Amino acid sequence: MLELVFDTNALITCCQATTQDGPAIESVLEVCVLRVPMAVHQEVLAARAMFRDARLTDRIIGEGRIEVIPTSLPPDNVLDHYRLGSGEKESIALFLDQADELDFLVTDDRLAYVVSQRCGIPCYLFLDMVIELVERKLWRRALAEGVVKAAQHRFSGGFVPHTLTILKTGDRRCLK
Amino acid sequence: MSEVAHYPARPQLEDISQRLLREAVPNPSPVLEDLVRRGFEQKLAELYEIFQQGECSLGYLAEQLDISSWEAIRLLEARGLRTTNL
Repeated sequence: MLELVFDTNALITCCQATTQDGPAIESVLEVCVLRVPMAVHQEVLAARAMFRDARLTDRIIGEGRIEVIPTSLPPDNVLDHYRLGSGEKESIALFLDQADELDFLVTDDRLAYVVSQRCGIPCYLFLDMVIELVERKLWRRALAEGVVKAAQHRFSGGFVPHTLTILKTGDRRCLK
Repeated sequence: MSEVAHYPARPQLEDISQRLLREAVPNPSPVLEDLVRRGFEQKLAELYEIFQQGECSLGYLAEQLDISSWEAIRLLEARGLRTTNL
């Protein structure tokens, strides 16, 4: 099992994408332990009355299948100088608090990705997490391709074709 | 076959701006409602620009509008805008 932190962006991608195997979040939870900070949970609580995917997430959290971890940030910390939301900042702080137990952080936000990298955090886009699951033989390629296609509306330009080519060839460079 | 989960176009920008206004003012006048709607739309446009440039995150955009990231995504989707800055 991989142990991952998801920020809200990645959680939304994962809960929106549905294949014939069901919601992608269920397939992720079969092979990964997910942790989210309190701020990400607060956003789920605020949205659950309005959106089906937020309700799904709330139910999964209520069943204890996604762990919600209280996280505190010191006042006037470096993250406050970026235009990040509370969920992204707490996700970074959560990873740094528990780095020894975690494999990587998943985000679909460019700024959160860059800042995480600058903090020395192994950070993956949702699509790269999908590739990782296939490379580690935790997911079938067909499942991964279905999830990528179901999530394609979230990504611009080259991200989806690049991901599908990596899944097909097993080569991240894909230029041969 | 995979499928993209589609959601109703709501919440629309007007719904959100009116909800925020009514939380602050019980019986706003139509003029005030219009001003708030336009102000919300202008602020969304400004935030969306820096979001797309990667200078702010989705969470920041949502917090500046006093909505959740889930609501921000539906708002952007309903307006035909990109929901990530990737």
